[in-house]
Amino acid sequence: VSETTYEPVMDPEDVGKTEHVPATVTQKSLNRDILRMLQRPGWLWWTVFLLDLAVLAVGMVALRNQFVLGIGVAGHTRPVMWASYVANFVFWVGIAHCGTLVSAILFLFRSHFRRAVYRVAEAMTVFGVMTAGLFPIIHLGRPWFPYWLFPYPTQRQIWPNFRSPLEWDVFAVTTYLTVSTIFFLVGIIPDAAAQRDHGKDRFHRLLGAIFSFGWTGANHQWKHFYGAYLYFAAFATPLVLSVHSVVSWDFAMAQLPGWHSTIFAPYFVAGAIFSGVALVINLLIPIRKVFKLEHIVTVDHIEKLSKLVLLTSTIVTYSYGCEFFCAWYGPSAHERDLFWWRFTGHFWWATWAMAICNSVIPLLLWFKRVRRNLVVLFVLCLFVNVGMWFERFVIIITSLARTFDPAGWDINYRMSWTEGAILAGSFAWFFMYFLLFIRLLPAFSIAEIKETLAPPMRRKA
Amino acid sequence: MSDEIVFDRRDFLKLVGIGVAGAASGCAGPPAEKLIPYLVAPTDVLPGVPYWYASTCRECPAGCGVLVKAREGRAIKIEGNPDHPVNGGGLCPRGQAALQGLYDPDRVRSPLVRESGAWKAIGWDEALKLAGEKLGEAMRAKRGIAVVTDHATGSLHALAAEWAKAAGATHLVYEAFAHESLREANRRTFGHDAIPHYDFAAARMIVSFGADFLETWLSPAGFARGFAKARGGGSPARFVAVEPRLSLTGANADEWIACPPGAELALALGMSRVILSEQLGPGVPERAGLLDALAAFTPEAVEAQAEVPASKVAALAREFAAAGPSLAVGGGIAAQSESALGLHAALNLLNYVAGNVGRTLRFDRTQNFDAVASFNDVQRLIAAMAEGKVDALVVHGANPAYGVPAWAGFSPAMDKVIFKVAITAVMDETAARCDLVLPSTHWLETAGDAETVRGVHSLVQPATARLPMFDARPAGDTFLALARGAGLRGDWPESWTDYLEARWKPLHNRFGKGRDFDTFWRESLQRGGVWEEVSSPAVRWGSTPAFARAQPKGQGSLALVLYPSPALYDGRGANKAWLQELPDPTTKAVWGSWIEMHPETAARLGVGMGDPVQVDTESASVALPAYLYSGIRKDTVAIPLGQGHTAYGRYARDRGVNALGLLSPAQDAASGAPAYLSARARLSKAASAPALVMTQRDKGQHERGMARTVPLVQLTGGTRDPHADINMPHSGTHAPGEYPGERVSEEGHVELPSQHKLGKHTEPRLKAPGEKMPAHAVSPFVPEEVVRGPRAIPIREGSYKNAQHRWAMAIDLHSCTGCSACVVACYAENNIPTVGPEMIKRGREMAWIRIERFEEKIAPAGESGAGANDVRHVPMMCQHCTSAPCEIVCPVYATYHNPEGLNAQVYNRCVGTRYCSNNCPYKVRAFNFFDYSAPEKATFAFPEPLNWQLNPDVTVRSKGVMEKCTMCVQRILEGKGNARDENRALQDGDIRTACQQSCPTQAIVFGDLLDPESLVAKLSRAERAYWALDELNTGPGVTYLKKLELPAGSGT
Repeated sequence: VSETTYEPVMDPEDVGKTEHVPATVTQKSLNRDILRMLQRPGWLWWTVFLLDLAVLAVGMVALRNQFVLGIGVAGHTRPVMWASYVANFVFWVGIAHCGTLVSAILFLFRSHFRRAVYRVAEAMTVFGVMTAGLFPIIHLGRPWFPYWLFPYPTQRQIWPNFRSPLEWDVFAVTTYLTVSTIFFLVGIIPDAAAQRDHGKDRFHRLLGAIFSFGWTGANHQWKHFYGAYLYFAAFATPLVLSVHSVVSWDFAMAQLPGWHSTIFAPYFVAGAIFSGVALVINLLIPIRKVFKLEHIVTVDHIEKLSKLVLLTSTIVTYSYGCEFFCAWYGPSAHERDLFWWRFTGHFWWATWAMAICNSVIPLLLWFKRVRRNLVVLFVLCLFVNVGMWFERFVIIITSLARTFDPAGWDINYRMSWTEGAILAGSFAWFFMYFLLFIRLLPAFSIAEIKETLAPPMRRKA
Repeated sequence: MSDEIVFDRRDFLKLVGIGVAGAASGCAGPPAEKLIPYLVAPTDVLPGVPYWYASTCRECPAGCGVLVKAREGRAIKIEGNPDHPVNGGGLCPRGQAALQGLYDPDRVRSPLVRESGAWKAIGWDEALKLAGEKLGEAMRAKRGIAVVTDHATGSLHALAAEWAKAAGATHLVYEAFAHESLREANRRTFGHDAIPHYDFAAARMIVSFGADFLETWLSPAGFARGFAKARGGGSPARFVAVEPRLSLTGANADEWIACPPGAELALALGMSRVILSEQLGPGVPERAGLLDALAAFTPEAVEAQAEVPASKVAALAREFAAAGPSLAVGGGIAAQSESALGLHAALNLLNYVAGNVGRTLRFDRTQNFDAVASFNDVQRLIAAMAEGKVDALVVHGANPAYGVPAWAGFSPAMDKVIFKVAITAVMDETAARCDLVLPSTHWLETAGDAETVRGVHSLVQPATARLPMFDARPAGDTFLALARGAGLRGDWPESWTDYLEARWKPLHNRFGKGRDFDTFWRESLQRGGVWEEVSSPAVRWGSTPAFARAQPKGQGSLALVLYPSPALYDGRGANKAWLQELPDPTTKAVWGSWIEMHPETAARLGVGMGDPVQVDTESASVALPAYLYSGIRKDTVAIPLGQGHTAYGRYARDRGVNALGLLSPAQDAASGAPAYLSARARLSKAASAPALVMTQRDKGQHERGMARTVPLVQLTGGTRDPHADINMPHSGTHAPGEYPGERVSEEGHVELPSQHKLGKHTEPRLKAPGEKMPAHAVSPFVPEEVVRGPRAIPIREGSYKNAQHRWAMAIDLHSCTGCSACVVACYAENNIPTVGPEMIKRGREMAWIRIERFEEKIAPAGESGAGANDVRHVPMMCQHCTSAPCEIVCPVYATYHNPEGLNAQVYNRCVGTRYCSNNCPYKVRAFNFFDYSAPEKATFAFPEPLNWQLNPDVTVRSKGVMEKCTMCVQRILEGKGNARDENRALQDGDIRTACQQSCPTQAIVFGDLLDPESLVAKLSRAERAYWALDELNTGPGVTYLKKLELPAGSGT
């Protein structure tokens, strides 16, 4: 009907010439390589999966314990009323940022290296939000009433308080979960159809049938597909910035020294991308190794991701410096005292861990040899994630512990085993979904990578 | 018509049946009958209306008048009786906590007899028969019987004495702190074997030589009231504390003289000598003889002994003599050494030569310690028991097995007595050693009387029926039953109340004014007793004892100071969770013992705050956590008394150490008083010790301006008018907005801390005619009768301009002594759970009000020139901010601002995000981390029957919700309701919060800011008013009044 609206993602002239993947990859081998991941899992997968479930079970026991006995089983103290649970929430929301960044923003910017990695990142986003969303409930004193935060009609005519940043969180996180899930489901349609058509067993073919939504590969379907994809990419892009900005306002809107700062929104967004990309690298390196996909997810791709890590690391480092400068330059004695105390007081180790992991270690990424050495890169990204968890820990806990009133000082937070178990359980929860995902649905985009391959031509002998 | 019936009767009944079944199966709520215990209410009790009973506190020898509040037959709160001459309305923490003695879950529930080492419950008849037989046997065999009672005074004392006389028994009135040396010194120097009436209110200068008169000494609630009076006004009395360890009392001093332990004596004598030699006082006939006796105590000699510069001694003496009347008190338990009598005599002399005797030190309303046994008497009983001369022992109320220092050997001697019977409510150390325990009632459920002060005949009135779970009888009845059972000769009345009323017949003759006895009795009960003026006999100087300073003995290098705990007194408060959880006013430590030492001493030892320390004396050795305190001399360490119980209930047992065990035999030679200040200690590092659990760990202000001071001269302009009002607003020159934090309204007048912004649709207001409210309005409208007429208030929006009140508080930091009575009062009033040391270690105490202690400057006067002592106490509770940071962050409106300025907390709505606490700059919100109110949980804070004390007007909070000070909103409602019932406007002073009521110094004032004539409004405008953390613009409803700085010499 209309030929003008179809806008291929790639200039047709460039198809087959980008060296996006090695020339050995053909349309057929790509299908085969990626759908091979959906075969019956072997001992390795089962071992990892069962281990994961065991950790999850420990976390669930701890959670049950907390629900029955009270939030007191966690380590909160009177000044430190938020601690690891809120840190976990911010951490997982941060993790959830990278997927949309890679799939939406890089899509809009035509960064082609995203094709090889975006499905993993998007899955990570969805599962990350699903994990993050648990923590606002887990950290409640009365976790059976979270629905009171939703504006639903009741005969009591009580609305939630729209002035509260926690209320904004409700909308920010639910919106983000909805949009990122839809985006994820839209992107997977053509690949699910491939799974439906070439799946090895009935179960996978059924799954493919469900997630392909009746995809036939017809021209008008492709047209609508790209239209929808572009639309959701445009829709999701501001969300990447807004969600974590809103999360940061949980802190910035409060008046505590160390929280009450206008830099928080960009600072948190950069930090979120920083940790998210690092986790994507941490996920991709073992996957390409185990599933022998080194030719599809190339070192070039990973190097490009690591450059993103370096960029966001410098932004985060700048933010740290900026905060310190403002504390020193500003009029608030409380704030000056707090920032000094962060590095010298009771939680000095957390602050130094944060600074070294987030600002010093990523400097190694200036070296190309580091960027291309996957073992070193893997370890480095682990450090980044540890550092980013500690960043949240430092922001939340040190600011609370150093109260305005010195009478509340030195009553410091200590993490309890319950919190540790729930933190571990949250990782298990996340990886449970992720492990299932790579075995149930195509974890790499067949359709988009195919766009970069030379079209299959009949060749004369 | 019948056509219009939609369904017939049968269908209707079926539907009703289904509906009822559905409702019944789905809606199994908590059983409603738990809420109102009266199924068949007595005719004279109205549910929901409190009844107040005047009574007398029996928690210490002071005998303060109290009013006990009873709701639906249960005593739920104790307050000071404003008409009582002893305390005049205030009450100390121990008095507040008496309720927990009444409802102590570990009270003895039935008579117990020891059978082969274990207790066996028996019936009363059997128990009385057994006791009667044994006592009769002992009496007939003419073997010794001893009766040990507490310091009951009044009729119970008379009955016990009569009983003992009839049985031929020794009667010993045991009081751990018997003040023998004080009595003996007064006998020798003034010819009165009594404890005088110290009139702090009249004193223009106060010097305390180691008397903790604001904590435990003699009558702390009454003294605190007088002290606050002396310290108020435009010419406050200066207060100098002379003691080796800065007590809470000393912390309120303008100057601290840290003399070596025992050297107070020399300083007092040196001052007397200066007064006499310079003829500063009114002149005494014995001058020449006294000067001879004091010849050795020249200022220079005093400097050598007491480490006070000679010039300082002279200056102090001059100031003391010129202040006239001044007052020197001293010789508290912590200073009771082997020369205790000498110290008291020296202080008597100092008061005498300065002309204070008969003015601030009088023998009119003397404290009644007449019958209290001296320690010599106790030792005689111990000797008799040890020699096997005592066959039967009857103990009531006293706990000598704990309170007598171990060296005196009470417990082993007691074990030699063949038959020991305890008439007691609690299984304390003494009762635990007995063979038969007869449960007695608590004073709150017993009729009785007391005469703790001469001329003050107080009545003890039962405020509640006897608790049904305890099969207890009044001790008087038990004594009478024992008298009959043992066959004692005499005319024993039928019951204890008969005996009591008979004892009041003579008083009726004296005070009855012609009315019949029943009227007189009822009136006395309502008032709390009868009191008369007592004339003050003239006093002349008697003999001057020889003055010699006793040194602490032993091997160690550190003098050991043992002081009575302000919360636990001599240990009798240890079974009350409120008192265990009450932060010690000095260290802010709870639930345990500790050893205080100077930071330099600790550094030499190599220990830090809370580290385990081994304390060795000649007699014993204990391990304790260290508390580093700059308010103690470097050669002295201090341990509080009152802990280390081996019995006495779940809260007391196995907690801390009983420091009395560290003492070696040492007594004041003249009076026989046990010398608590007599030992030296050796300190070393220990492997482990109980934890030091503190609620406030950092006692510095770090320039945060929480507690502020102002030089007196800045307020008075240098005039010394005692009647000047230091709380008047600065007149004339003060421009609006001149002071930091002051708000200026659009009209240009100074705004009070009050509501000035509100949510348009979140607060109750009158709906305009035809106005459509949005769906998210919290309260679309309120009935017209709630919203009242216009009134000029600084609130200009919404319903707030129609509010008639803005509740607020003013707290005078100059009056606040840090005694912490308000904290316990708040626990009692507001059903605050106690959480135990493990929770407090994690900062999870539930107190709604806390006393913050800031040690701005603690330096002994000798070291840094001008005496510097600047310890500030700030009662910190919810500030009910105008722009409350907590309110905007709550996502569910669980905390919001009500039209009358209160920051309200809706427990039902709270989901427990704890965001409000994070954003609260004052950190005054307490969170229910566990289920403290669920009986089935291990964390239950009110084990039966402690839950009987719960105030039915206040919700008991459940797990996972935030709570905080409500400014006693239940009392506000009660006050407003009463005014409405009486068809009158609410008046200033109608409503008193629990903390305000209990404050012995009246430092806390509550009221309505919108009434410009109210006291709180006036105080809030005072020049010395400030708001805590005012730079945050929270606009607190609590205004603090700066503490006054009184420089040395300002008292003259």
